[in-house]
Amino acid sequence: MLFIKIDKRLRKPYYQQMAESIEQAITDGVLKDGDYLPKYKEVADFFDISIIVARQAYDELEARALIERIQGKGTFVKHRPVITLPLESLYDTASMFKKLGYTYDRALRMIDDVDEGLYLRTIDTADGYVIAHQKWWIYQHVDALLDAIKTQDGTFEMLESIVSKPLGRLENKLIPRSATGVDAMVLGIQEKTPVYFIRSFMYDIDDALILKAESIFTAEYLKFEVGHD
Amino acid sequence: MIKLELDHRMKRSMLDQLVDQLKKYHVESRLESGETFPDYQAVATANALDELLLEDAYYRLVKEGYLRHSKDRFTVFRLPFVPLESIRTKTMYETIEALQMAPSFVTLRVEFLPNLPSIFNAAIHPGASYVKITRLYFADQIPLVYIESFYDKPLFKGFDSLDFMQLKVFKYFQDTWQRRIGSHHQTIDIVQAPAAINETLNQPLDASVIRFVSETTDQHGDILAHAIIHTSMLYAIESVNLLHPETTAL
Repeated sequence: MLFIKIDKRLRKPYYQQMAESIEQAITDGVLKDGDYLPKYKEVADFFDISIIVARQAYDELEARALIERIQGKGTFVKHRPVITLPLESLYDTASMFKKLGYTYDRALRMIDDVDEGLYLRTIDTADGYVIAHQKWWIYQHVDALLDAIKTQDGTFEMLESIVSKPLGRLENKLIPRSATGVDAMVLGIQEKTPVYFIRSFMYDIDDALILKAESIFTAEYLKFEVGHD
Repeated sequence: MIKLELDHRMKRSMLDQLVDQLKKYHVESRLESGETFPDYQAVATANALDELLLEDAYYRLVKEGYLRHSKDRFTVFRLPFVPLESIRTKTMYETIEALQMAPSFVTLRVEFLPNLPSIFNAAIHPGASYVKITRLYFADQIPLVYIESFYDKPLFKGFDSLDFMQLKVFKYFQDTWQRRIGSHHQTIDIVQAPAAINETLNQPLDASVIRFVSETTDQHGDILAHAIIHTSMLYAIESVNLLHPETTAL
């Protein structure tokens, strides 16, 4: 409770003081992502204010996506540090995140036959947070990929599984998009929240298409970087 | 088929509501440039809407650059992807020219500021003064990019005699100081733009945009400009990676 500050001598509304002090504690690192916040009643009793005021402060913080209320569990800080990735090297997200010191998992959610290949849907997590929902159409090395899936218990490295001969070019196309239905649900974000939609085409050295992918990355705590070193 | 719904309680006109929803469909559908957009008569029938109203909405999308109209059909228009190389080194004018479209801009505002906005994390220099120029860039008269640029005021010689409405700033720097663009360093994120910017870019008011926070340096690596750039959904970036043929283990 120490991080909540309400000074009754000030003219500023109590709910605003409360919201600002919690935000400050998040910014200063006193409160971290996932930390539990006290119930309205506890805050109201402690500061001798109305429960409505305490709720108003939480409403404001929730609207700004700084906290999250989970039914039956309580209120938690939601603050993930922004990760900045170089856009140029967006060819293997798993390696990129690992280099930055995050754990990275790719879980297979769906597999289907399509014309001349295989269709997969995967969900990627970095340090346990869902970061991407991806759809893949694989046109080459399908057998190698299926073997990898069988042996790796549903979690696998896409590129390592399919690369058996030198890669050629890779095209990534970054398109602004607002999250809709399934993507929002999978990424655990509100519909209409901004997301990165990235369409990728990977070719082998003879310029034959190996795979295409459509990836939705959460924009909540991810940024890309372009330019000189 | 496109699902369209009108909310009669909304203040926004029925035409605007349809235009907003069609733009969303345009962006979210996987239709490529040149593919046929669903026939407006069929869409009107399926959604029990007035055909003429829907036809008007389609023509608005043509006017705003989302669709093309030829013979009896409407086709999807998307910009060619902007190569990553271009956003590293070129001016916005050159980037649009490289897409083989006609660039133009209007200057919306010219202001003076004592400091750079906090988004740049720049140190505060007492006595410093910046010129902020807000511009809207068009490609073939379609509004594409909303740019707020910030320059050190002393970079403009003979300040009062300059016509900021028309001035091509980087060309001016090159002609006056022999300083040309070395590179842009940019962070890219996708944000929900303020409604006023979305309106200027002819987008649905709650649409997402690409935002670049950019720092431009000259050929010697010295800072030449800062900018906050919002680009419409019609604009997208292509990052082409040429992998070394021997790169097999990624």
